[in-house]
Amino acid sequence: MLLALQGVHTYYGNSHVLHGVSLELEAGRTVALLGRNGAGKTTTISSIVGFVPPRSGKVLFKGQDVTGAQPHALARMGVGLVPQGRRIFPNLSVRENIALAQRAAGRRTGWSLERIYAQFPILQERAAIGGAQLSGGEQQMLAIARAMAVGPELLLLDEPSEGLAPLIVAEIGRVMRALKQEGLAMLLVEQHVPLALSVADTVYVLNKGQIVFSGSPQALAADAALKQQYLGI
Amino acid sequence: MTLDTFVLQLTNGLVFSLLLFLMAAGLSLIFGLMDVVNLAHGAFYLLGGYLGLSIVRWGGSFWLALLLAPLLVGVLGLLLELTLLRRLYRRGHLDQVLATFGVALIVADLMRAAWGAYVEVVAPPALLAGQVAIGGLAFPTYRLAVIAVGLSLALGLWLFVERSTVGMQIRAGVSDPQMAGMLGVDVPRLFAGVFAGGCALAAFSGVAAAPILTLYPGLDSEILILALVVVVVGGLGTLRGAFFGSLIVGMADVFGKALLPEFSVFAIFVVMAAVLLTRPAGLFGRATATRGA
Repeated sequence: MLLALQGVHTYYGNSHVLHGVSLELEAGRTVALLGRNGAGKTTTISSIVGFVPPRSGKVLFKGQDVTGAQPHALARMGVGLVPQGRRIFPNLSVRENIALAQRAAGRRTGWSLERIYAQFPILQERAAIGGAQLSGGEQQMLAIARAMAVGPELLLLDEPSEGLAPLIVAEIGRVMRALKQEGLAMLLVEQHVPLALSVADTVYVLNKGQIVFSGSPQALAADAALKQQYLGI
Repeated sequence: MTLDTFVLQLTNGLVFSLLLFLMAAGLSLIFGLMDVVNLAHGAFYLLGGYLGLSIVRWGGSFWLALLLAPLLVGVLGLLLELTLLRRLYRRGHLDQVLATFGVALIVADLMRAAWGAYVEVVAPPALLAGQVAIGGLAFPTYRLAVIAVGLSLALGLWLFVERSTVGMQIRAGVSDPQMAGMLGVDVPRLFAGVFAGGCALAAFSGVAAAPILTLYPGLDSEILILALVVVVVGGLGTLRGAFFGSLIVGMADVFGKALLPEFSVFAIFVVMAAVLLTRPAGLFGRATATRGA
């Protein structure tokens, strides 16, 4: 198992957000984590990468206990993050945003600058521009490129379609399917259900900090009552 | 004020500004990177000066003092970061302020015990003891040397932060330490290094300033307050802000003392208030990571 969460409980101060979340992700597979606003999707990501360490439960990566580990330790083990809101460094140029990830993680990535530019041509055009001057779609491309530059075996994507025009959402879907073709494992948090179902092998639905469904995208698509109750569609 | 006095005061202002910059650069980067207000920064400045004094007294040269004192204070800063500050990052500002203020008080008392409560003067090195005549005006050689060294250090620091890999990590860490970590940057190590480097720069400033400002108990907090004003005026976490903030505050201080001695402290805070009214985040306000489009 590449990634496993076992009974994770996470709090923000006194507020109990995750109530024993367990999920599993195999190498090369894509898992979508769905749910309404405030269901605990982003908190799940934050618990995995140590931004908000779980109060109890375990996070295992490649069989190793990484609960509450430092972010840089996880990055160096092969976890890449495309965070909610993209979090591009505005005071670094596009090229620097990528170079930072390539050098700091010290992993053999296979994702050279040339390859990144080939996958994301827009970033080459904007290479010398500051991160703050990019459009939302360009920022999202950079956030994905930057995470790939770390050379991850597991990519965590938190709402990559958020606030983007349909054309760009389609482009992001294309990129995710291409990465999946290459055998990259992904954990995808999404509000955009059709996008998520188009790439996922397995779907988990989160509600009020608890997993209420896990199964194939087909099983979810067929369950109208479940979709209505937990996803509002 | 005649043109001659104006030019001399301008030189003094530049000297003071650059000494202030060496203090404020560390303070600002530490503040921007770790979100810690290091109230012990002034104590490290004065400790650097006193260590320099002792090194000169024990027969070392001024040059040795300029090298060794920052090194010692840098190591002390590193130990402080590893043992005390590291535990406080997850706590609020109040805990950090109390802890670093406590360190400042302890170091100040230890310095008083070790070096006494007198005004100590450090002679500039013999090589720079004289004066240089430029256009009929006599400039103290040492002050011109401080300007040259200060400007070179400022340029060197700027190149380090803007062009080196570690500098890139520092800039990324200033805007979003968590995300820098997720890209593989060992943020705790970066924090420790920047903290130690900032302390060493403050100590360097303390040694370099000793022949001009002398050394006495209380100088630590005087310098700290000015450096904090610089950080507020220039904006958090940027070298450019620390540089131009230092120029403004340094010049305001020197010219304030020359023109309106009764209001010299007032002059600095007028400048600070004016900047805050027009640019609340400081001249080069801190850039934070973008959240959403």
